[in-house]
Amino acid sequence: MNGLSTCERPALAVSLGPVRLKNPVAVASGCYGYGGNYREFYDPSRLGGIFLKCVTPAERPGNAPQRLVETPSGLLNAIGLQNVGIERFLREIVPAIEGIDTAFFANIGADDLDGYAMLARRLSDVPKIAAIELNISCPNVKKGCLAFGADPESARQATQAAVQSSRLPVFVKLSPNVANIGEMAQAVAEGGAAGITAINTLLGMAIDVETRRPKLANVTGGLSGPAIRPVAVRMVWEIRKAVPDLPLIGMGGILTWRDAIEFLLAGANAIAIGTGNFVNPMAPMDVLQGIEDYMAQHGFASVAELSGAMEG
Amino acid sequence: MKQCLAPLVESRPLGPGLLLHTYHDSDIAAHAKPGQFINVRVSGATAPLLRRPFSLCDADPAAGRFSVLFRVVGEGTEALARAGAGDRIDLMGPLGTAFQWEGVERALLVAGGVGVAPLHFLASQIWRAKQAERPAPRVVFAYGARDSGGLALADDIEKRVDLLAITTEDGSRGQRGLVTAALDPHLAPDTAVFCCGPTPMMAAVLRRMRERGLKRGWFSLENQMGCGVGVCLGCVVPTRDGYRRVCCDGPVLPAAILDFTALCS
Repeated sequence: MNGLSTCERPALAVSLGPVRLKNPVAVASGCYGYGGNYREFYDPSRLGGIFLKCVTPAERPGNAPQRLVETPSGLLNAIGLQNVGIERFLREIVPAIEGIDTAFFANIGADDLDGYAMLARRLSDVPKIAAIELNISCPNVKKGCLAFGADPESARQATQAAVQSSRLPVFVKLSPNVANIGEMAQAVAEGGAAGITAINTLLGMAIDVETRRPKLANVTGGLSGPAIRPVAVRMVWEIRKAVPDLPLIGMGGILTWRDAIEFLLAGANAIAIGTGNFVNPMAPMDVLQGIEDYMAQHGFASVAELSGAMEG
Repeated sequence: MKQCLAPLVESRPLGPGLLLHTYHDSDIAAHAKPGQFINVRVSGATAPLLRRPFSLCDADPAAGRFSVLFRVVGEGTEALARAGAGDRIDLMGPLGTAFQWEGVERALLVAGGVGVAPLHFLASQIWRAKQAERPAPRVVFAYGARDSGGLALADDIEKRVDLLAITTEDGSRGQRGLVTAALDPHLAPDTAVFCCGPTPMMAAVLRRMRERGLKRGWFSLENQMGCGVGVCLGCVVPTRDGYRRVCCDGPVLPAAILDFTALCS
């Protein structure tokens, strides 16, 4: 605790190594498009950061529908990394984010190490991109991605491939579908990661008992939403213990400011909202206000003080 | 498009399991177009988690009111059905694309079951244009349901269109059979078709249109949605032009690109 005087407002800016966020509230990849869709609700420049929808070397049509199923307090999805590919990304998406003043993280996915290296290299020259988010944890594509996130050595190699090819800091998005998340965190740290984002979705499945068919065309999908939050908070806590000094952005089922505070207390330096945007388009702004009020009320002068401040 | 807490003005039962909700919000009422939808947070809890999309059934800019028609079929609609007059409901709208009827001289509106909602709005809008002596098409409205209890708003529609053709599967009102059987007399080549209903019905209507060489048509599609604003790519449907998002490329899509084969399988 500290001596924040009653009339002072807490400092919201966060430093994640070389990346500075104006506040600790970001929006998660795949849940915010390329930054423009929520403009009618609030100015996206008020966000601490935007994790862009995943880009892959070539255009991908994505999985066949049905792509979504709602589950108790959760959402099961198998979108399959539908995106326009790196060439159109650079030509069409990058100019469109120019007017938004926030830290952009370009989420990249590939089938092999060369693909990761190529994407990391191409994005190095884009001034608007603050960092790369390495997607080694998408559970919904047949090749690559999750395969790299499933064991420490592959994760280290993918991280290294991106780090060596790019001038940008590389954050690695970890999959929860592993036995030991701390080991994964250490592996990507060894690979040169500038930070970690966690968690991606939990692998899940739902069956229609009348038709006896899987509800998703892809059979399995990634579970998000409040249903996974306790798992995510536990994993953020374990990652923090495994890599005490590595910048860490926590996510997984955050809907309200209370949820966000849990992640910060568990050791996250900042948080991201994913599925919560769909439930409440104002969630990022509501959460930001709630964090600020909480900090003022509890005497935290900065987000850094709050990060990892869980007692016991 | 906006998000608001809109007061529920009235929750009116219109048949077994059918409810008409009328809300008040001047902006949404002023901007809503037939075919567009609102995305409703049906409870403050985390289950059901996602918002539920409902096609607008009508909008009255002067009164600042708009309505949706829904059948109580699951957790989400059950939760919404518990709301009463005066409750403030968290909703977003108007969202999505609208039916295009400008320049149309002959319109055939084809509705199946609760899919009547956006076509009721369309018929109302065309009728209001006629009242205001603006150019508007002649409207034939083909409306099919399982039984007479499923024919919500039929009497209201009858007052606003040139011809209402009703079919019920059990013959309890109108012609017995499927709505597609009632279309043939109204498929002149210059007719524009506007359609909403169960997917097999829409597939049959599209097939008939193409057999008769009709080019202009607009279909309102339905799918499970994640975000409702185009970011999650969860609600896509296959079309002749690749995947299209129901929430923002639709829900109203032009007949020319539709391909129901994949959707019906």
